[in-house]
Amino acid sequence: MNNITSSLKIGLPLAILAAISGLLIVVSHLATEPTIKAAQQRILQESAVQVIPQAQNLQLICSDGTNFKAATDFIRDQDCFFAGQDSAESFNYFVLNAQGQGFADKIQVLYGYDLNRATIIGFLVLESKETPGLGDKIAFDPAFLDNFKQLATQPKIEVVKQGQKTAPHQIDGITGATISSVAIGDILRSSVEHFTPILQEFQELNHGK
Amino acid sequence: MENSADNFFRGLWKENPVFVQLLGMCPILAVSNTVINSLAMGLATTFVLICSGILISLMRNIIPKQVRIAAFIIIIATFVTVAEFILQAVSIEIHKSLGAFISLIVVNCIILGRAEAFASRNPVFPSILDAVGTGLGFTFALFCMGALREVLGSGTFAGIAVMPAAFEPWIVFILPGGGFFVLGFLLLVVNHINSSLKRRAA
Amino acid sequence: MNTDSHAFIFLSACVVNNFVLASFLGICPFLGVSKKVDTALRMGIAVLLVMLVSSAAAFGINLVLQSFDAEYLQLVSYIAVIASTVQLVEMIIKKFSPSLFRALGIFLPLITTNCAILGVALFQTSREYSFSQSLVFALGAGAGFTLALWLMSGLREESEFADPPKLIKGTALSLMIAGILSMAFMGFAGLGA
Repeated sequence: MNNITSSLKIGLPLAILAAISGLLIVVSHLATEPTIKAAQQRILQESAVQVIPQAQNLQLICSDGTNFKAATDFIRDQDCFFAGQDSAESFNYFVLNAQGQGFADKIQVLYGYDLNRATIIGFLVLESKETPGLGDKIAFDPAFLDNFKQLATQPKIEVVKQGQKTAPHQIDGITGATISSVAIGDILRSSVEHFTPILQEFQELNHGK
Repeated sequence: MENSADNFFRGLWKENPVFVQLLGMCPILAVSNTVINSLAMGLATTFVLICSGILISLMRNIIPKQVRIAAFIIIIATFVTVAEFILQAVSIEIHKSLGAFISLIVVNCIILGRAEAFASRNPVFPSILDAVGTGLGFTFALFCMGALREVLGSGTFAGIAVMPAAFEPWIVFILPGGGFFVLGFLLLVVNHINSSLKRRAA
Repeated sequence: MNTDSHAFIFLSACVVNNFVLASFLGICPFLGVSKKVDTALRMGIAVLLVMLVSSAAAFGINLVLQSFDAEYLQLVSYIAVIASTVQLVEMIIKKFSPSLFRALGIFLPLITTNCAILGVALFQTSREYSFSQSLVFALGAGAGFTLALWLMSGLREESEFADPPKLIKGTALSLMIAGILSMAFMGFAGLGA
């Protein structure tokens, strides 16, 4: 009997505490979630426009494998992308979100894709924690970013040493940031491979609309 | 009244959590590569210190002795989660650049230390003063680190260029190694000031 | 080498992005428990054990939280898991090796507030590692922590015999040593490329 009351004496305050803490977390989550979501969407939309300024009517589309639906936010376990029209009003411009492991941590990028020409035409690093002064150059080094103004994805994206780019499907890497440059190449290559059939299907479905 | 002032000012210099007690070293080194990051981290930590100080002080007679550490950690983790939501709502960019270190405020020994040493033994008002003093002392230390590292390592202060154009930034200061050097140097300066103060008093 | 491969994750967590010297996780024990080589090694191994168990547990918890869409409870549940893991490891060591238990003493409960452990749990979630990748990551992080602690304690034992100016003696000197170690570890950058 004594045992039970003494465990109650310890357990009850802890239970109350757990309830209070749960309540606090849920309330603050609900209170801040709309603001956070709205800000995230705004940043994403602005970045998407920045990646392909010439695209018209950019909108977010998600596919669950069978259907395409307009969405307001990225949905987990679905393939989401921004689709935009070119001057002939055909859905040819796409902005895709891709991520992968870099040198220090996850790298997240947005890139613009011209489906008809199978060419990457815009690029933006959304998030990276690469080494300051070396790897973080992938986000702002002008020579490196020039690679993505016109980057063919056929036959296959390749990263070469700085200054050794000879073909349109090659990325000129950054000296001192080899792993980060190669990681960007890997991220783009696997994302393009994954998304090309999905985008082709989407383009056919919306042909002439 | 003198006592309240002491509760407040103690954390700022005499018992500065970083320079004197050598606590909370991880965030001090990890997020002090820019001034903005330092200030955001300092304020978030101060927020958690104050809130958890209040709650722990209120519950100090209910929490059983045997499980007090577990209870403190739950309370701290709760407020860190809340702080994370607020920071995210205020600025996603800052939240992103601080990354996991916002969550790691939970294991900042300063907070658990103040909870155990002060808030769990004192009424609410002194606990708040103590928390604010400690938090500002921590923020001050972070700010010194951030300012030195950003000015020398990137040539900017809070993102604004302050060094002449000919200045080539010493990248080493924003790299991990530079963090250790700057903190070691600051400790040296604080030691020097304190020992010369002592000499003058003697 | 592929950045998703197990070998890369291990090398990255252990030397290239050493948890202590490059990511600044676990600085408190790094400065506090690095005075003697043998205590440093013991501490490192205890941390490695806790990391492995809590990494596996955190992986499970994350699956549960995700299925309920309750990721905002992540932090609270992780820290609860780590605190109980430390208790568990403490009991296991006490039962199977009382001498090790005595030697570790006060350091064992302090592992709870070692940010390297919470760091492992948080990073493996944000990098979306699979179960085996998480375990390898925890192993690498623990080995890296032990390595840093071991090197540091060796250097500090040597520096005991030196006669530095009075002002720099103590933590300021340790931090300078750590700075040099950290720069030396930067030489590993590019390994595995």
